[in-house]
Amino acid sequence: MNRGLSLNNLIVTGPAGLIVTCMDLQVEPGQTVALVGESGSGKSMTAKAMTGLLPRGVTATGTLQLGEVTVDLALGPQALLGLRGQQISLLLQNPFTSLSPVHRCGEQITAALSPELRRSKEEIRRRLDEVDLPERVARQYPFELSGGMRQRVALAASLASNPQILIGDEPTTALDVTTQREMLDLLERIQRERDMALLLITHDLGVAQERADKILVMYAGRLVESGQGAEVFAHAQHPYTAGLRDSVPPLEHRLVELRAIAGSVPRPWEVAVGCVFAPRCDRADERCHNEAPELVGTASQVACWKPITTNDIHLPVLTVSDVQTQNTDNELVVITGISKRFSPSAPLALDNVDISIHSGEAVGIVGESGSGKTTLARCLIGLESFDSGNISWSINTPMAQRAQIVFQDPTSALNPAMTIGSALAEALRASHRDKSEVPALLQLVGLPAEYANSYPSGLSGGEQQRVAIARSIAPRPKLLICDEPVSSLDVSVQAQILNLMNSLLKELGIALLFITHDLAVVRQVVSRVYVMSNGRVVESGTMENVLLSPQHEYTRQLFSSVARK
Amino acid sequence: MKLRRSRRPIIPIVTGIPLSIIAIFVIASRWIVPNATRQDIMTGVTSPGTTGHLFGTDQLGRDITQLAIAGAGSAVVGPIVIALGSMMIGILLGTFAGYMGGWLDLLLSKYADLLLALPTTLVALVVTGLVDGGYWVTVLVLIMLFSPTDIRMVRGSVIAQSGRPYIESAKVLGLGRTRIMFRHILPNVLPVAFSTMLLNVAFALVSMSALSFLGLGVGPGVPDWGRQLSDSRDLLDRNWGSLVLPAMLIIITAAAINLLGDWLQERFEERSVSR
Repeated sequence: MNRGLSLNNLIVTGPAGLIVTCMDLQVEPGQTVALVGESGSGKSMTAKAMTGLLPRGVTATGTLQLGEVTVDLALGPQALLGLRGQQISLLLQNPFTSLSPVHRCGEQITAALSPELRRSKEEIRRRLDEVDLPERVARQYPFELSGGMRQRVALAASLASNPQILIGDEPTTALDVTTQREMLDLLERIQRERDMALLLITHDLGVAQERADKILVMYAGRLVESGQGAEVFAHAQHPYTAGLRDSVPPLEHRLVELRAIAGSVPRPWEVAVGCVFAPRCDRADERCHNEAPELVGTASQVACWKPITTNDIHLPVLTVSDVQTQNTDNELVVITGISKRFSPSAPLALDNVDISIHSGEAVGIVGESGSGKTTLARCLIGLESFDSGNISWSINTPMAQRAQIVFQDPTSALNPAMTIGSALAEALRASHRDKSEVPALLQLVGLPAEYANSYPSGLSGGEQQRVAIARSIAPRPKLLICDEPVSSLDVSVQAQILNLMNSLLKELGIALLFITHDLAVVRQVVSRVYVMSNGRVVESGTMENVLLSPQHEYTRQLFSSVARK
Repeated sequence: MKLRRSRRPIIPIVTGIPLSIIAIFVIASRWIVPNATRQDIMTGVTSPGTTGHLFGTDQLGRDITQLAIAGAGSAVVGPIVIALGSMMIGILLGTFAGYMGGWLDLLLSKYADLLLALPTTLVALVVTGLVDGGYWVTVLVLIMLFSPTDIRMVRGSVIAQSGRPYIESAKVLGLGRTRIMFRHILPNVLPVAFSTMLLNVAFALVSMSALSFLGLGVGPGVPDWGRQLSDSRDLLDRNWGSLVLPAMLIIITAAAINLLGDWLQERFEERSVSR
């Protein structure tokens, strides 16, 4: 008897058109299958279709087979009632919103159990124990717990009905790197103990490569490649898979330039004929544009007319040494002993922080959420006041020409009611420059001059971030502060933006303060790094030295959680 | 992922037809019904369906239908002025209160709270009674009484916008306060302000009609829906049309404006979410 799950010929249709096209997947008990893709690839919609949680206006067809039961998905969510939450369970991304804020964790974990079991203290203790949580958690509310603990509660709740298959939709994305690793270990252990099938939906290639037995790569609503574990990326056949792999910044070395995939992910319904990836593919020929390839192969499958074979020449990867010359006598800004507390009862957000940035130097600040890295940046730029300490600039220009900031989310960083052109013109005028520089500014960030007339809503995330960068370099600041500038972008777009930043630094000769939680990203941009934890700088030095011989315990922990992931 | 519900614009069509007819009445009533207020004592009260008088006539022999068409102006113009005026106050004070914060916010919020605590109709009654009535006095009083909700609404939206990164970017670029308030924040508040304004027109229409009914507002002899309602009390037994027509017009206009306002608000919210 086949106890696994198989999904056959899934098609998801939204009001604008197809979202997922002809999707097949099988998961065996005890097996981990990773569904990898960028935003808009349809991976989350696949999970939603399998659990009958599609948003209004979106319908699915196809069949879902679980053991002896076959469900026709076209019959709607009702058809899945007996399976969802029983045999198929879903673990969502954000533990801050997926748990009910007004119910105690104990109640939420046992909600799916029979009434007798629900009252049993023993049962709750056993459930909490399985996810390594202490018994007291049963009586606590979600807001009393940390993000990692909340996600464990959510996991315990989704395991309550002893499902045969667990679908994890980005289950670790909202967590800090160190917590992420613990959560993945826990998932793996529980899966082994229960001999449960796990479908892991993720955008993180590292997670997929390390944890999955089988990897499926989705692009614009279609499955483009699948294969065994890390093999899929090591011997990528589809140009998209290869491009995705090469876009991921490595932690081991610094590249001269990341290999980015040009353009951005199309919406699935915008692709009418031909291969979905053809417009961004440098191998594409006429056939690719006119005829959609089928998924072919046995052990590993690929949907491509011109797959990459072992005969193809791999371009050598150019690396550079991290060490860059530093003129220590030319300090641009020196921060000494800054401290900040948001409220008298709160812990120190910044605790006696010293940081210096030299002219033209790229400096990184690395830390997890709550480490104070963003607060430091906001103090530096004047968006936040500080209690004690000193910031001294070596230049005497107006603040706007000293430093500018690029935020994480480009969509909210641009005024939705203003055209790109007028936003840039305003930034230029604010520092007494002429608006005739707008086209040049757009060109500098790699956007066509026609974009001046569009509104931000008409641009993709990566393009919006380019505009935000253009706006912040308009006053010709001496320092550009970037607060997680690529963490809300897709991997392939992230590489484009990192390349852009590196070229801008070279071209304009400005200093950069790069704030991030992502060590591999910061490695590609900065020469010197500060590691922050709980409002303090725990370690600093050149990127290479800190990476090769981390001195502080926290830094080591941070590195190992990334390196082994 | 952006998912837009495909929706036919039923609401704008359904509400647009009656609203445009009423708009025509407002603009062109002096040409459509030039003799609306002509009295004809000989005819006196007639019931609906009398030849030439679809909804009958009143004690003075005035045709109810013509009177209602002529009354559209005073019934609709006042409420529009009220909604516009109070929203202008709301935008000005609400933007300052929301963006500047501090004592100015405290002061303006307390002022709004104070006005909100007053019973609208009662205050309007007392004030217009004291200064001896008049249509535009009523309008002015209602502007004052409507403004606190607008101040609060705008203030709330401004506060919601001020914390967003695009405002912080504008600050970092060194832009002035006035520029940030009126060039950056305001355009993003205006859509909501507009739909709120429409809802206020409907509310003001009912308030004005109620005041006219109570004998305040328009002077005697001036055609007005509220006044017509009030007059109809005495001739209900002889002509029910004198009650039904103005009442229906008030209800239809208010409901249509309300629906349109709700629809617009929903659309704007959808748009800001999809952004």
